[in-house]
Amino acid sequence: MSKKNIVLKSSNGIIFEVEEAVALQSETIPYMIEDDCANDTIPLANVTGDILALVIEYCKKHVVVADGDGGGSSSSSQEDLKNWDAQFMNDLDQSKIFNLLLAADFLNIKTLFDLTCQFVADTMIKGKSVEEVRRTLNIEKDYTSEEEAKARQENEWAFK
Amino acid sequence: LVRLHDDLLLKILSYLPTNEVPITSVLSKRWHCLWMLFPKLEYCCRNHTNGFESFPQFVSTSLLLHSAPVLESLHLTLHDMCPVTDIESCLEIASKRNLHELKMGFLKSLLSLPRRLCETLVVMHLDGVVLDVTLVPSSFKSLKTLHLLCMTYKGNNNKSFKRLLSKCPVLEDLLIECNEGSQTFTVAVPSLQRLSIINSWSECFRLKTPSLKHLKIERFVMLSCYIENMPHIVTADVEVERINLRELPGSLTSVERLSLLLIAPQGKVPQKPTKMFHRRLHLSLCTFYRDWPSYLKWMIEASPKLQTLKLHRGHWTRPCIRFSNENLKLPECSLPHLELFEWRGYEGTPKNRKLASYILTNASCLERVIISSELSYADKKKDGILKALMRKEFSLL
Repeated sequence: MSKKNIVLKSSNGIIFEVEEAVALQSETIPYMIEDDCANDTIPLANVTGDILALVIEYCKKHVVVADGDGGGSSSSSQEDLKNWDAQFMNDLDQSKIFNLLLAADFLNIKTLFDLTCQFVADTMIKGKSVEEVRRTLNIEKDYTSEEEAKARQENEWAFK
Repeated sequence: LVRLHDDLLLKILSYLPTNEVPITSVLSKRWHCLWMLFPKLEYCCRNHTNGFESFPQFVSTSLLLHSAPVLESLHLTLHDMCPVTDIESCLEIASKRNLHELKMGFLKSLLSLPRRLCETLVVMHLDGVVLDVTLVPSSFKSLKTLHLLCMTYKGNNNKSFKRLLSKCPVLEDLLIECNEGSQTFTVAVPSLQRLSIINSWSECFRLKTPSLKHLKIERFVMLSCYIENMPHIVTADVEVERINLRELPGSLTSVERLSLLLIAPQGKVPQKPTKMFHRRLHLSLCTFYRDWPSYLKWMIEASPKLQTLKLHRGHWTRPCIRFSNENLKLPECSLPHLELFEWRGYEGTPKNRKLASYILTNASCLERVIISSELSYADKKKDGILKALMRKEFSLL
């Protein structure tokens, strides 16, 4: 397979040139290639340069493994990849994580979307008290005490 | 977070364990609205503070408040003291939301299912439920996955079970666990691709599943079995007790991965195979029963394309039952396709050695060999034999 490069342009005008296989992990980009003049730069109006850099880092890591073993990657490389993913997410701050989630959704990269959603669910909500989640996610409590009591009562079966 | 639209937040919620989602409704008004749209619901009567009797009514109220247009899944953990009519009205409400997946457990009273529910369900998981199949109002025309655990049926168990299956025209995945013993146990579903039967007892087992790809039988006592041809079968994981040896693998000859664990099988191993395994075969055989070498001989002769062979001791920790006193007969063929040979629980007895060296000498394209004693006690003599064998093996390769 001949290696073709694709040029992506972030919302703040930063240019990235990546191999086609890296870019095609996004299910949105092929449509943009079809719709646009094929060999030109693909503008990504919703993704800033720093986030696009992260997306590309993720896609590069994942394309190597998919290629690596003729399709069936070994369990050890799967394990390595999982560790890499965990480290990748752990190094990000909350605002980057949400921007990455938006980018993964917009670019339709399923594995990255799963990874970020699972990370948000596991580290920001799961097993935490209502107050902790409010603090972590910076959610303003807009309930009166009575309303909150009512909401709790509706779902009392979920509070152990 | 404010910038994330509702659809995205709903998706994030679906990555939480279902029972942790309701708590998020207390976070703020926005999250409360999100929760009302969340399509997966799980109710457990043990967390309900006002007693089991009022639990189904509480679920109904909660379901009516809920505004998701399509309910993806509803899990109900019930109790005998929950009134059946109230549960039926819960299901009636859920059925109006096009419920796809129903998981329901622990109800010893007789239950009937709403017609519409039967028509929309794709997944049904029943655990410890008493069902009257004659009351099932229509066929489960979308049902692809059916898991039945510790079920009881009104009337004749076997007939009811057969009747239930006949109402599932597109069923692909069936799991049956702890089925009450019956003389004949029949599974006849033309569309079925995956079948698992765990912890059951039956004198006669009949299988008519021409599309089956994956078969798993675990802790099943059966005396005889009739399996119709399954040309698409890929994996078969079979752990049976008291099966007649003449019957079992003959109907699985299209399989690619076969794992056999036989406990106290009946009858003698046939002298010569009558049917051949015609695909490349990965075989895993438990060495627990006394006459396993004859069985292995038979299997090797029946599988000219044997690619991997794994011998293991199953889940038993005590020492293996020794070979029977009969002379060890080795297969009369070579192993031209064998690439991997693994023997866990090797004991280094003369018969063990004879068998191992037969395999090592006759497998011309062997790539990997793993032989380990895995004995729980240290035995230096055996260790020495093992090492000697290893040396021989390395000089061969």
